[in-house]
Amino acid sequence: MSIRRRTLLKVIVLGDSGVGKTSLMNQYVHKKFSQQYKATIGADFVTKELQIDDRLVTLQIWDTAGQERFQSLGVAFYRGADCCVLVYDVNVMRSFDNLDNWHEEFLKQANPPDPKTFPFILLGNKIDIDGGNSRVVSEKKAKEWCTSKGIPYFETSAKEDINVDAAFLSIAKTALANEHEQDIEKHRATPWDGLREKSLKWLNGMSKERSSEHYNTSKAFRRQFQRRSKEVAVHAKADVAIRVPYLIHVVA
Amino acid sequence: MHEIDVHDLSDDADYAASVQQGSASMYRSNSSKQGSSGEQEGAEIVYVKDNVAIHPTQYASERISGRLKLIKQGGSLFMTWIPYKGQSSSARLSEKDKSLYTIRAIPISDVRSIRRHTPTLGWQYVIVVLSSGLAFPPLYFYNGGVREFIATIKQHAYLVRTPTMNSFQVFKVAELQVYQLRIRSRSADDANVFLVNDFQDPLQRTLSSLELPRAVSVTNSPSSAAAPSESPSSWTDGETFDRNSALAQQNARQRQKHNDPARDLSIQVLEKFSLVTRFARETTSQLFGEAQGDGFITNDRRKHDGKTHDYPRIAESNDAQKLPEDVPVPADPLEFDKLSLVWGKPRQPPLGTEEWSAFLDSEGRVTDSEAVRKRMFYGGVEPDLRKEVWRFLLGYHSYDSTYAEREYLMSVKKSEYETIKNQWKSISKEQAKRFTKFRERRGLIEKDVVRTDRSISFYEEDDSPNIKCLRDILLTYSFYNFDLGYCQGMSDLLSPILFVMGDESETFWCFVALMERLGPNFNRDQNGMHSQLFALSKLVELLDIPLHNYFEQKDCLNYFFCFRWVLIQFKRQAVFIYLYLVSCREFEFEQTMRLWEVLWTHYGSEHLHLYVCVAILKRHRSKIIGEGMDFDTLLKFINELSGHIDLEAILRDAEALCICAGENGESCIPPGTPPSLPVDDTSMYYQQDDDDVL
Repeated sequence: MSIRRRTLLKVIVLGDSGVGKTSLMNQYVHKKFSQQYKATIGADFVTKELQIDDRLVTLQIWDTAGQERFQSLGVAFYRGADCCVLVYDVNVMRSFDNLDNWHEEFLKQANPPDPKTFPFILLGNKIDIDGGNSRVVSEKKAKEWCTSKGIPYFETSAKEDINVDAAFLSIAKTALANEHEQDIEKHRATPWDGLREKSLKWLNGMSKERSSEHYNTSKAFRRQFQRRSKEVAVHAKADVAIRVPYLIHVVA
Repeated sequence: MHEIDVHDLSDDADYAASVQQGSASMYRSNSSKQGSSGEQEGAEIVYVKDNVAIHPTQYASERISGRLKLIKQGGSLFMTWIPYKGQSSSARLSEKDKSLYTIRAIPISDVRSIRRHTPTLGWQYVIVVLSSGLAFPPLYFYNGGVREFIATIKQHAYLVRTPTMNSFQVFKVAELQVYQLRIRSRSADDANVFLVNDFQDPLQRTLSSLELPRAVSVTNSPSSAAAPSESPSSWTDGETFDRNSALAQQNARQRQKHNDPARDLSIQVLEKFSLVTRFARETTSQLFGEAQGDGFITNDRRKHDGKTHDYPRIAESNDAQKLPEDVPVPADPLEFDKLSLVWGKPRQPPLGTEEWSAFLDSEGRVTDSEAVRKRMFYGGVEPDLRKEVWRFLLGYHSYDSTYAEREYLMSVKKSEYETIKNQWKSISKEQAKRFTKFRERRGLIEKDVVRTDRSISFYEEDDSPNIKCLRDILLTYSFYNFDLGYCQGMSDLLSPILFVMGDESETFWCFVALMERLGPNFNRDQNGMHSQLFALSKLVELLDIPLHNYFEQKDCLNYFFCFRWVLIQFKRQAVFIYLYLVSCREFEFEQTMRLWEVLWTHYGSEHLHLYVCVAILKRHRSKIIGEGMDFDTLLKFINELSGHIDLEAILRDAEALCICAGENGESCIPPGTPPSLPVDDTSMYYQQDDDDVL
């Protein structure tokens, strides 16, 4: 197995509207800050490559709408996440109070294999405002919340670029650790018994054709598996349908 | 127009002569010169061919025979094809049918391409495609002479021969005919495309050169040769075309009464096309009828069900055929361009003040709201006029109101607005402390208004009164419609309205009217969005089954990647750039407003925005499928799809798709889907809904 391999890590950023999710991402990825980001509608993501030890990692950071009303979209956007970043504004109590809701909602929608160990991280943003004089959530309070859930905590300012890199590096590491654990777990048991028999032959063929390292990454493996299973079904259908154009030729 | 000038060439004597001759006779250019030079001063017939026929139905016996001529007049070459009189091979074809097909002196300078087909069995035929996009029905040369025909044109016009039939991208048109002809003549059909005048248009040239590499790769792949036929199949639904052709004919009758030359011309195009499509439909239905023993001619087409559709199955099989070889689905990226060229009507300049006032009677009523909506559908509204016209478009003013009534309404509504506004204005600080919901709403709104369209000079200043105005209106709206409250995206919908209206109260009521239709987009359960995205998936299934299959395969059928498009009506994300003009924010803003006013006309369909989605997706389908985009990539691609959308072209495409989909399209869209009014209110708005039926 190759020592260097590229890993895609999907990170979801959640939190109340206006806490600075988009700003944090853009500061991290583009080293830019703007007062004029638009409210995020739907979802979007940015990617950033970084190296952690001997691993090349692509962080795919998902920005989502902050309004609760859009939470029902989560199902589509959260799936396959490796880490969830919760963000609140240290100057807005409500955004802190809502963290429980975001935490719970994420687990409900993303439905990770093991919710108890799924990695989260908390960012308290906008510490720069008023030199910290207008903050209403103390660091102590935030840390207590994190300790109770076993979540790492960072205080950040997207505007002043305080702690942003450190926070995201920690995010990447947390996600990567989770990825390792998933690897081990996934190879032990695969939960797709229905289509498994049929698809496995084909999938094996695929793996041999291409470099095996790619498919050893559990997520890629899993996705490939699902895709292939579907294609098997498509082919079965096609057998019947192929006759039709043939008939056209005969008639013509 | 040249056509009118040279129209007289096809006089009755000409018909009589051809009938007398009966059998084939062919003049080479020299001999014909003397023979017919007397017809009209300066006109010289350089090519004549008798027994050139078109097949309006699938039965060759029901052909319409006529005489094809090339006429030189002045410096220009014209082509005519006149059916013989009184020599109908079938009782089913009336004289009227025949005259519909008549080609009256088309200048060769208007011809984009000529496609020559030499089937292994049967007669050689050509398809002439005009630069307007119209393709004439195939002309069958019963007595040969195609080569001479091409050669003659070659002498008088710039003609480029494209190498193989697979270079279909350059000819871009005649989609349906080619599709069905390909079925008829199999893929071994030897067709050649001759481009006429194609390189005059720099854009065309650019497009052609861009397409070229793809053509080569397509040619190399044997399995993909059949690809062009797979997509159009989904439109060739009999019911739709039946309806369209009936509609076209009905329109034609009406138009004849009006006797408006410009309209006649466009309707002629439409009629001809409808006949072509009828031809295509009948041909295919016969083929499929024989192949499967039932189906197209029978009656259950109206039920929209992908599984019982004959066509999608074909498409699916084509798709599937390719999979084992792992060929990237080449799924004919061009069929769509062809479609738009065939169907899409040219856009018009925006409606101006003078023209608008012509629609108003002395008391200010819009006498023909259908006509004015149609006019705005095809051209939008001049910026200065928006302030007046948007009130109608949004439904705040009714078309049959008078100046006085509108004036009165305005004053009543102004005080009503103030009353509602005072409901939150009067909330004291102390009261607000105990009113979490209010504080939350206000907080959310204040956060959003300062990040709405700030790049537009109207909202640029940090302490802009316009930003405050946005806030006040949104807060007032959240009291006016307390159940719906405020939701992100509303500020995006409001800001152009304020920009246009200026007045706070008027903006509010226009926004209220807009939200009557779009409010469900923001429902807590998101049902308005879900129903639109569902309808979108159904429309793609109807209009582009391979793309649908692709999305299904990639688990993308939720269409969440179009969420932003639908929620805020293409604002922000789709930066519409017309012909590579310099991109700027103000321009983007302007283009959004243009799109909106076209959508708001609800002309043709209330759900044109969904067809716009389909049109954009179709425009990029080759990229989407070719690059194997999954959900994530697709979302990113669509979010960043800016600077590549030509608004006018997309609108033409959307219109074309909407017409193609016809009733089947409407049946994809559940009742009450925004921007339709909620189902419960239909009785109230019955009249209005009625107007929206195409």
